Amino acid sequence: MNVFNKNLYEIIVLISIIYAALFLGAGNTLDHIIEHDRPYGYLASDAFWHEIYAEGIKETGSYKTYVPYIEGGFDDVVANNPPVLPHLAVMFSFVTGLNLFDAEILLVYLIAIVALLVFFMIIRRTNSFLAILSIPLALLLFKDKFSTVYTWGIWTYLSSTMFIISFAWSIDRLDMKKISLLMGLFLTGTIIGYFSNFIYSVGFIIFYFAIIFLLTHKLQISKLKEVGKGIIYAMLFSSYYLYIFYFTLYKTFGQLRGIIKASEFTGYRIPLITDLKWMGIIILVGFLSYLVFTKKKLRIVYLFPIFMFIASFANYIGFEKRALTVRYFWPVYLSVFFGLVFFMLINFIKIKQKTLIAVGISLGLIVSLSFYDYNNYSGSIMDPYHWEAFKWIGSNVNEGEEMLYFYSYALEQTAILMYGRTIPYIIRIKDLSPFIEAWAVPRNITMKIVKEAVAYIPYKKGPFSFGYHGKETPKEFWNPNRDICSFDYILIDKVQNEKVTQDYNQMVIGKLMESGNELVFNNPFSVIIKIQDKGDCV
Amino acid sequence: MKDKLIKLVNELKYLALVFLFLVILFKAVFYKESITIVLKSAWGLFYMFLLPGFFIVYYWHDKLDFIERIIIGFPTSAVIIGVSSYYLGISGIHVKYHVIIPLILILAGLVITIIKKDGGNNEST
Repeated sequence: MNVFNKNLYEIIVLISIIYAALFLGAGNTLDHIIEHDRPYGYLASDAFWHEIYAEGIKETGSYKTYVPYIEGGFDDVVANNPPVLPHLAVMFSFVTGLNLFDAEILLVYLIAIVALLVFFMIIRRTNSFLAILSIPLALLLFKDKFSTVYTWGIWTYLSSTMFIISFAWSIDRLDMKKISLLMGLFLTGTIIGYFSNFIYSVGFIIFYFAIIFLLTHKLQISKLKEVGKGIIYAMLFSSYYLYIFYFTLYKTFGQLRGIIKASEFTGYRIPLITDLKWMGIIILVGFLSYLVFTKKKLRIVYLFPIFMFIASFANYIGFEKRALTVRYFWPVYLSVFFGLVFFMLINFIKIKQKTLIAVGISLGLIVSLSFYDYNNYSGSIMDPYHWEAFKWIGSNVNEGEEMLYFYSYALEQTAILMYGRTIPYIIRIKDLSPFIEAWAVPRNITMKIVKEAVAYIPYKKGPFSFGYHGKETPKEFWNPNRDICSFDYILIDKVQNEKVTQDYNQMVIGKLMESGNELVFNNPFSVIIKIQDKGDCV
Repeated sequence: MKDKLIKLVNELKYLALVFLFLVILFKAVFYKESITIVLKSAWGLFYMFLLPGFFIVYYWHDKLDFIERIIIGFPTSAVIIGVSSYYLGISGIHVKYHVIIPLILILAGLVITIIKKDGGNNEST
């Protein structure tokens, strides 16, 4: 059967939504270029951290341990951040030849688009017109607060969301032979992608079968068996990572936190119900219509979004950001109720050309939502000057040599220091302030080692025993008081956002150069000075 | 089995169209980018996610139509490749050699398709 004849109107809508999503997302953020000369579209530290984990895999060949320079020099730190995305990014980089930082951010946007397409398939199983009328709302994924997830680096959540939606797809296909294997794979993706989504998957299983049992008094044993098999497969496929996760992320951060309101959370830009604006009203009408008019209420297409919407308020039971991040996918989850309004209207008005009308409305929604609240999010906090400096450092600072970063406003997102591929010591403004007031070059000053410390820097003591460098090393190790002359190289920014620190930095540069130190790197923004006399360099 | 293989060969033509669509899509979105980079990126997506996923999910070709298999093939391929690469890396095989995983999945999918015994009903949903 010719796929085009049967599905032409779907194909038209799918092509339109894929184009719009990719244009508004990756196209917009990446300035319509795939290959950049530096990490582009990275607007927060977390985005850089994810890229740095992937760089470590590319460098070392595996994800057994983190590269030492991101952990204060410790070479035994167990890699514990969810591994699926960085491995996919590394492979995508190898296959395409793209820089890893370009490959990873492009992949992140593609994953979001696939997630919305999988949800389209879930809706389509109920009704293909409902699917084409619903999916345009998903374009909000690339608007305003919802777009934070890409540029601010909430990437492990994003990759795992593709898998939880795929898992929901598989729950809707329990009649298919050996579906438990696919289900197991998707659940594995939630475990190794972002564990909270596995918790939500299990929660949804309980929710779904409990509701069916309560309303139909039927316990679907055969389906439960398939689900059980799927969970067992997932446990098997992810067994090693579960072991790592237990001793690292779970033991350090797995406990429930206190209650926090979405509006009070400061880590990310969390979407609120009011951010759905007029679309939220249509969604509400759609949900009420579902309650009143829909006959087949127990379909996955309705129950899964309802469950995930409820889950997005689990911050009120201590899930904190693990619940709040679910909101980033409201445009997908709630799209079915959005589309239901138009679907019911079309069916209510007795017209013959329903296919054409539905496609017309869908395309109209795609166009209008594409232009709605249009903003350009392109750019990067990694400016070309610092990128040039980091590349120089990575190529010229040898193993065993130490690098000091003088305070700079441009280096406040400290993850970028990892691109120097050397343990980054940085002087903070609070420690530098007394020297600025005295207008003196700091000699002995407290500084900070920038590190990745999500799970307190875990290492293996034995097969079932882990230590934590972050807890076992004294505070002075991570915030040493050292003579700046004890370093081999110092990077100082000539340009600052405030005149006083700019003048101060230039004074320090002048003093260091007068003292016979060597200027080894110089661009319009930064200098790197090689210390000649480690005993007395000023 | 002959019908299954004929159907597969026919669908390979659609796969070729999917690749062409990807190239056009990428060029339309990343219009400032060179055609070489666009081709490489489209190929990467196709080779890593769409081809392996298509052949693995082909097992259910009688239940899922082409569009659905292409779409669900992506996360299927992504999780298998991601997990395999993780474990292979930990076992000592450098990640640069993992680019062969998609090819292995394509072949595995083909073998499974060939040896799978069809049920009675081959109608797609």
